[in-house]
Amino acid sequence: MLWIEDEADTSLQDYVEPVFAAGYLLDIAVNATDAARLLQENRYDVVIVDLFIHAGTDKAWQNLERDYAKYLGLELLRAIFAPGTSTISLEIPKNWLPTRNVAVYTVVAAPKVHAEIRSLGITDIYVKRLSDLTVLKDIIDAKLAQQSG
Amino acid sequence: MSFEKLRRNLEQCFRNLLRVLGIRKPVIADGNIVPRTHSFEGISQLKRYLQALDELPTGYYAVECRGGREVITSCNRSFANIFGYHSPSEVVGREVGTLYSNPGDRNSFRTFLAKMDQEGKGPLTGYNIQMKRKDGSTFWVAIDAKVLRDTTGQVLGREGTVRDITREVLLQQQVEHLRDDLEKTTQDMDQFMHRYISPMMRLDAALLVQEKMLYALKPFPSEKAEVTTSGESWASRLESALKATLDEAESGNLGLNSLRTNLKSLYKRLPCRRSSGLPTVDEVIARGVALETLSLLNSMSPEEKDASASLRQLEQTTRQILEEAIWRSTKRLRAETKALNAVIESLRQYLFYHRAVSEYEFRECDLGRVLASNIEVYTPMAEEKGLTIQLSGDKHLRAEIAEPHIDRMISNLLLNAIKYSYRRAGTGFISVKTSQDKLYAKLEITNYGVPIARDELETGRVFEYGYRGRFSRDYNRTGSGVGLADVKQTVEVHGGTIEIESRPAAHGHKEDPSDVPFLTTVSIKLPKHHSQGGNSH
Repeated sequence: MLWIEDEADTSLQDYVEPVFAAGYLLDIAVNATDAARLLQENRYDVVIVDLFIHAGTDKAWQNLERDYAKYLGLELLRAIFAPGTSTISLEIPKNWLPTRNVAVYTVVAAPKVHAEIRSLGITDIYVKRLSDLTVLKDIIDAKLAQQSG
Repeated sequence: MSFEKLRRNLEQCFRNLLRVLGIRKPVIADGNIVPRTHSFEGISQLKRYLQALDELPTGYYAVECRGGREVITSCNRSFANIFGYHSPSEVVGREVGTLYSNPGDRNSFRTFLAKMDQEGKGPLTGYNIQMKRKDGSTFWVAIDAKVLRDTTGQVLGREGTVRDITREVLLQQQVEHLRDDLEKTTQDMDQFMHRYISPMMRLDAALLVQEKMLYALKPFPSEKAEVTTSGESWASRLESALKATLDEAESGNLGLNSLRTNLKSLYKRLPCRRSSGLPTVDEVIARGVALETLSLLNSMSPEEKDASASLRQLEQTTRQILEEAIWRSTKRLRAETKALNAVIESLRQYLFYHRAVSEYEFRECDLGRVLASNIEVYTPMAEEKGLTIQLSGDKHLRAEIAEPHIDRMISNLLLNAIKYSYRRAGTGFISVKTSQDKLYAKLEITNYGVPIARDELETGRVFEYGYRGRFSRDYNRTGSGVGLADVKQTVEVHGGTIEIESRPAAHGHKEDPSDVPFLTTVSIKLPKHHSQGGNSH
């Protein structure tokens, strides 16, 4: 499992524990650079993406962040699932990460943004609320159930 | 311009018009241009056409190509007025290029018109372009134009109409600016929410973790402790006093009499509470008195060891009380966190997405579970005011709901019920009743306290965003005025209904809100199946 979330190791770290306790192997990427690297190196059963992430050390991501892009998480999804629409180039093989393995967990609730996410083939969008500690684990469980069902 | 020249221009204008009307080879007779084949009636009819043309609200114009220049050869009064001139005579004869605000626009227009003409696509209509008035000010027009050619196909010029669309263009620009502003503000709001929600979630998570630890480490006894309202400060003072006593006892500096005195002092602060397996303070004191009677102060006798063990047990009892105080403040803090988050979410929903029904994702859920969870969170807040939340009716109500929105709706209603209830010493209540039939799930929340004026209910003002009832401000009760507006929105998106009744609680009293407390009931009816409701998503 991969969680792409800038607060994963700070404010939201308590939500990680139930995932580990359930026996899942969870990687965490706190910025776009790390996320891109991990996605290119590993195959994940479930990837959970936040839209508001920082660029990290990669210059291309930094340029995007500086120039206009507010939702770098969305830019990452574009780079993977609609490569022609993104200025970022990722070397991810075609079926390395199916869209059904991806969920978005974000504070953004704008219908326009959700519509774009859905147009990329990602249907599971969770909006952050005050939740039980198991919310991340619940999302992972739901995705795995979908895949096996 | 000389009269002769004007006359010639007018003749040319008439010829063009007659050509348009299909009348050939006109002659000039007694100052009037008439077709050869037409009688006096024809002259009158022609005059009427010309008059109508001149009085058209739309500007008419004709432009002729002369030696590389494009000259306005005729126009009507409206055309002149649109461009800020008093009469056509000021305009006719001018080069048309002087009317364009940007010279480049003229070339673009001519090119586009020529292309349309060559492709046989008919007259050009609704071409928007920025022009210049007589006083130099710019404005927008929509041009219709048709190319005029002679019999050999040579372009003679063009003619058509113009319409002032400045107002429409400015409005459109304003709409676009507002849209850009809204999008930017939406993004800014999203960024704020992103920065805000993480610490809120962290606080909430920390409170949940603490709560779970307290439950795991120290199970609470079944009896309720009589904890004072200033539990935290009392508990910390008690802890300090107990620690000091234990330190002195362990160091051997405290004689048994002093120990007994200190224990009595602690006893006064400690509520009478018995935990299973642990002695009461009375029993500890009794053991101390027994020790004194046996006069075994200077040796490590079994009784002395026993007293020490009793003190440790007392410490454990006290710690339980402390933990309960911490647990209560944890719960309280969690309720405040949820309440604050509900206000922010309600605000965001209204400002940005109050028309965006597509954000609501309907799934079958147990409404009873959502209700019970909210009651659990807000119970400590209610208890601080001496209120209990009494839940009755159907425990499970399955319905297709957008759970986060219903959760927030219930949160807002319970908060209002608590806030606007009068503080009572242990006898106050908030009643929450549920019921259902085949089609609907129903919820009723009743509180006793601040009235809502009848006119505010009848006019629906209580549901207006930002409105606070005029009786709501007593005792400096604060509020955002957002909650009920958001509740109503949520109910309506679900296709449900909401009604509020506020009536005097005391039987027989007149409905004078300043006199008696009121019972206020909010009744909500939600369809169990989303497609039943009026809104689709």
